[in-house]
Amino acid sequence: MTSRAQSQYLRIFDNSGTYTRWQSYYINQTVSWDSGSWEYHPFTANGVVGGAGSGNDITIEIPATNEAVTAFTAALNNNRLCEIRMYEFDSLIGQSAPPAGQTLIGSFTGEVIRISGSFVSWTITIGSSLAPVGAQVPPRKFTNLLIGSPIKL
Amino acid sequence: MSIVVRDPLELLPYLTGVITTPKEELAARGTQQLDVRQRSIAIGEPIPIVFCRRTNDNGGVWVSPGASEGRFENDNNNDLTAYYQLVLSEGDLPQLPLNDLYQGPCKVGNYVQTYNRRAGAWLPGAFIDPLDSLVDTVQFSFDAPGTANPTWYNATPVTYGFGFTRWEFNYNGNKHYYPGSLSPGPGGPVLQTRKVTAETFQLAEVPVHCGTSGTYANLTTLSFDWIYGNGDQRWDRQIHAFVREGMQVTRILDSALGSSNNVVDLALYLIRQSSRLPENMLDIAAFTTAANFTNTNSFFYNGEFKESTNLEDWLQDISTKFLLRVSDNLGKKAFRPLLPINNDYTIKTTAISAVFTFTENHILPNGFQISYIPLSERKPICALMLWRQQPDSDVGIVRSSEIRFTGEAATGPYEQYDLSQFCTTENHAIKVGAYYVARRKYITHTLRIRVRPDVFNSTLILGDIVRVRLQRETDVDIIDYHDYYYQVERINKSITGVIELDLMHFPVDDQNRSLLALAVVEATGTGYSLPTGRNDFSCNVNNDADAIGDVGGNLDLPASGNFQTNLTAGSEGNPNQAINNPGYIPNYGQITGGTGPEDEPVDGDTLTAGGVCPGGYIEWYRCPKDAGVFSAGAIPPTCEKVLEGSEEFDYTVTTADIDYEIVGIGRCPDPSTPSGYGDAFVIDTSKPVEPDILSYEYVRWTGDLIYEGVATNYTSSWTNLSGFNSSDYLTIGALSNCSFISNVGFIAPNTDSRFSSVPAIGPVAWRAEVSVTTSGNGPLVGEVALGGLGSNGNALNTCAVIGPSVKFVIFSSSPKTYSVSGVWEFSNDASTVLVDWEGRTA
Repeated sequence: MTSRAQSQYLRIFDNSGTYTRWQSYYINQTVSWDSGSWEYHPFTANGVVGGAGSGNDITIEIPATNEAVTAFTAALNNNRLCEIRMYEFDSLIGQSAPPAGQTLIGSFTGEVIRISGSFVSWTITIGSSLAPVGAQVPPRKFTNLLIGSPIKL
Repeated sequence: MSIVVRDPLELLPYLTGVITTPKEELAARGTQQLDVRQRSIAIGEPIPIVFCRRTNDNGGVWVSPGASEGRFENDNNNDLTAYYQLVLSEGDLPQLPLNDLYQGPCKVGNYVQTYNRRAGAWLPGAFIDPLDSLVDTVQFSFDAPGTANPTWYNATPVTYGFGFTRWEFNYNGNKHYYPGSLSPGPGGPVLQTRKVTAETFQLAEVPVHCGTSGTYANLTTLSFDWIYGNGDQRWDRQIHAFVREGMQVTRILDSALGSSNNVVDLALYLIRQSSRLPENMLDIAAFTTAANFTNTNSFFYNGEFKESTNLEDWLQDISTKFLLRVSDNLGKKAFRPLLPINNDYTIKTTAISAVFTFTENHILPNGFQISYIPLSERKPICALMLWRQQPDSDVGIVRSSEIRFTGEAATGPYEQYDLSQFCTTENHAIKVGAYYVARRKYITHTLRIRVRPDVFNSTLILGDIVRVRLQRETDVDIIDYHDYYYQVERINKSITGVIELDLMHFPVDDQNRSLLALAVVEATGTGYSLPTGRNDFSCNVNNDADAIGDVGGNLDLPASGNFQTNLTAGSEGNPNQAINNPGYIPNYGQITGGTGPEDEPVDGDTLTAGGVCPGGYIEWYRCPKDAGVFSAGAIPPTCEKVLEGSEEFDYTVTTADIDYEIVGIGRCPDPSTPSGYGDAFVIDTSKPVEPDILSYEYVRWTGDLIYEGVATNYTSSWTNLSGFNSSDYLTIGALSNCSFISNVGFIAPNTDSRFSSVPAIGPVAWRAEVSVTTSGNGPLVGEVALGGLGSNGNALNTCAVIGPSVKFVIFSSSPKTYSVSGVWEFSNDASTVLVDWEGRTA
C-alpha cells in the first residue's frame, strides 16, 4: 500500500432492523458500500477496538445537528445498538468512492450509553449497559405473587 | 484525532485479572449446617439458582431450601404431622431421588416435587388439638413399653352394678380391661396401658403464621410431610436435598436442554436473564471456546447461586476461578482462557510462537511505556485454596489445600481463595491456586507501545502472543535488548493510523513454553478423600433411589393486580408555549360558547377562546359587523377593547355587545421580549351578538319607511313573546307584486329587469331591514310593495300598506330606492325599551 488512509463508518440499528448509515470520509457524498448507502455526516471515533477487562467503551465526537440529536437520543432512549467500523485503504485509489478491496481493521458494536457535550458538539459513548454498581444477580427475587405471605417459623 | 489514553498502565494487571488478591478472608462459604431449625423464606431474598451436574461421581450440591408454607396437625395420640412447601431453585430441576432427601441428617419424609406450581395438595395452616377431652382417660397400646412413638387407643370407663368401675377397650371385636387382663387376646397382645394426664401430651409449639400460596412461576418446588410422635421435637428440623442435576438450561456445548456444570452456561444464563446486554453484544464464539476450555480441563461449577451481587463483579470474580478472564472484543462481552490452549482446548505447554515481532522500526517516538508489578503483588505466597469435597448424597466437606513453590512461603504469607461454593474437584482448586502463585512469581511487568501501522493492522487480535525486541544502546561496546513475549490485552486503533497496544508480560522458559501453563499443568491434587466422620446411619428411613413423584397444583392463586402497579408512559413533547422564534405557527383556535340557533353569541353567554398557549395573554375586542377581516397588527379603530389579561380565556357577552362581533387576540409567552409575550395573532371572530330573545316579554319593530329618499317614522305595536319558542320569529317581508290591495307573489332577486336590487324572499327570521332599487331599464309598469311585519313568515298584506311597508308604482326611468329600515326593540313591560337589535340579514 503506497498511501494509507482510514475511514470510519457508523450504523445505528433501530427496532425494525433498518438503520442510520453515516460515513465521515467522503465529504458531502453518499457512497455505496457493503450493500448500503452511507450518507456523509462528520464524526470522529476514537479507535479502541477491544481489550481485556470491562468498560472498553469508545467515544464519538459529532456535531449536534438535528439529525445527530434525533438519532442518538432515540438510540439512548431505546437501547439501540451502534456499530463503528474502521477501514484501511490505499488513498490513491479510494478518494472518490470506497475501493472494493479496502480492509476492515476494526469494528465495535455497543449500545449508546452516554451522551454529553455542548450545544454544538456532542460526545457519544458506545459501550455496554452492564452497570458496574447495583445488584443484578440472581435475577429474580421472592415476591408475594410467587409465594404469597411466607411461613414464619 | 488524538490518542485517547483510557486507563493508567498500572491498572492493567488488575483489569485483566492477573492480580486478584482477595479483599477479605472469611469462613468457607460452602460450609453447611445440618441439624438446624427449618429456614423460612423472606420476601425479597434472591431466588437461588441450583446449578450443577454430577459427572463421574463428582459434583452435585447439597442445598437447604427455605420454606414458604407449612401445615401442622395432631391426632388423638398427639402425633404431629408436619408439612412444608419448599422452593428448591429457579428453573426446572429434574426429579430428585427419594434417598437424596433429608431432614436434618436423616433420610426421612414423604416428598413430591414439581415445577412452575405448588407441590402437593395440602392446605397451609396450624391445626393443633389441645386434646383436653382425653385427660383423665385410659389408653392402651399393642406396642411394647419403650417403643418409640407407640400407638395409643382410647378406652371407655364401665361401672358395674356393685359400684366397681374399670376401663374397657375393644379392639377387633375383643374386649380388654384395665385394671384387668392385658393379654392375651384375639386382637393381639395388649402390652401397655397408661392413664392420660395433662402432662401426657407435649403439644408442639408450631407456627401460627403458616403462609399463603403463590404462583411459584418458573420455580421448582418440593413438598415434605412426616409424622412425629408425641413429644418429638424434630418436626422443625431443616430439610436438605442433594441435587445431582441442577437447573436445566440450553447448554452451549451441545445445544441440549439439561443440567449443566459449565460456568459459561451459568454466565450466559445470568447475562440474558438480567437483560443488561443484548444478544448481539455477546461473543458466542469466544464463550464457546471458554466453555470447551473449562469442560476439557474439568473446571466445573457445582453450586447454589443465591447471594445477591453485581453481575459485572461476579463475572470478573468467577472468571479467574476458572482460569478465564472477562474480555470485551469489538464491543462484545466474552470469556477467554487465561492460558494458551491447544486446538483440543487443553492447556498448551509446548513452545509458543509470536504472531508478530515489534522492533524499533515500529515504535513511534515516546511510544514505549513500561510498568512493573509492585512488590506487594510479587512476593511469594502460599495459596490456601478452599474447595468442597462432595460425597455422594451427603453434605459437602470443605477442604483446604495449600499451594506453594518448593522452598517458598513455607510459613506464609497465606492468601485464601474460597472456591468451596462451587468447586468440587481437587484438581480444579489446585490448578487455580497454582496459577495464583505462578503469576506472582513470573509475570513481572506490563507494556504499552505506540506503533505505526503495518501488516498486522488487520490481523492482530486480542490474546495474540507478540514479541517486542528493542535494542538498547547505552554503552559503546555493549548492546542490550528488551526482548520479551507479551499477550495483547488491548488494541487502540486511531483514525490517524497510530496503533496503541497494551501488552501483558508472557513469561516463557528457554524452550518458549509458557511458565504459567507449565506450573498449572504440573499442579495436581493428592486425590485424598477426607472421611465424613459419620458412622451412624440408623435414622435413615428412605433408601429408595426412585425419583419422587410430580404432584402439585395451585391453591388460591393471588391476583397479580394486587402486587403490581403498571404506569402508563406519557409521550414527551416540546413545551406547548410559543416563543418568539422564526417559523413559529400559533395553534389557532376558535371562539366557542355561543348559544344562538347557529351558535351566535347571545347576551349572557360566556365565550371561550381556544388554542392559546398556557400563560398566554388575551385581548377581547368588540367590533362592528362591517369591520371586515383584519390582522392582529391592524385592529380597526372602530373596535373597542373590552377585556384583556393573562389567561383571560373567557368573556361574558352583555347587551352592549349586541350587533357587534367579538374578536379574540392572543399572544404567547416569550421571555425574550420586554412585555414577556410574543407577537399577537387573531384567535377567532364570533358571529354578531344577538339578544337572548326569549328572555324578554315583548318585541316591536321601529324604524323608517323611506320613499325615494323621504323617510316616515313607523313603530309597530308590541308583540307578546310569551308564546314564542326558539323557532318562532318576526320578520320584515320581501318585495311583492300587487294587484290593487292584494299581494300576488314575491319577487326574487335577479328575476325582474325592473329592479337592480331586490331583497331575498326569505322569509329571513328577525330581518329588520329591506331595500329595493329600481333599474330604470325595465318596463315602467306595475305596482309593488316592500316590507310588512310578518310572524313566522313574510307578511301577505303589504299591498294593503298595513304595518311597516312601502308601496310604489314603477314609472320613472331613473333608478329609485325604497326601504323599510329599522330595528327590533325588546321590553319586559311593553313600555321601556331594554335592547335594540338590528336583526339578521340572512
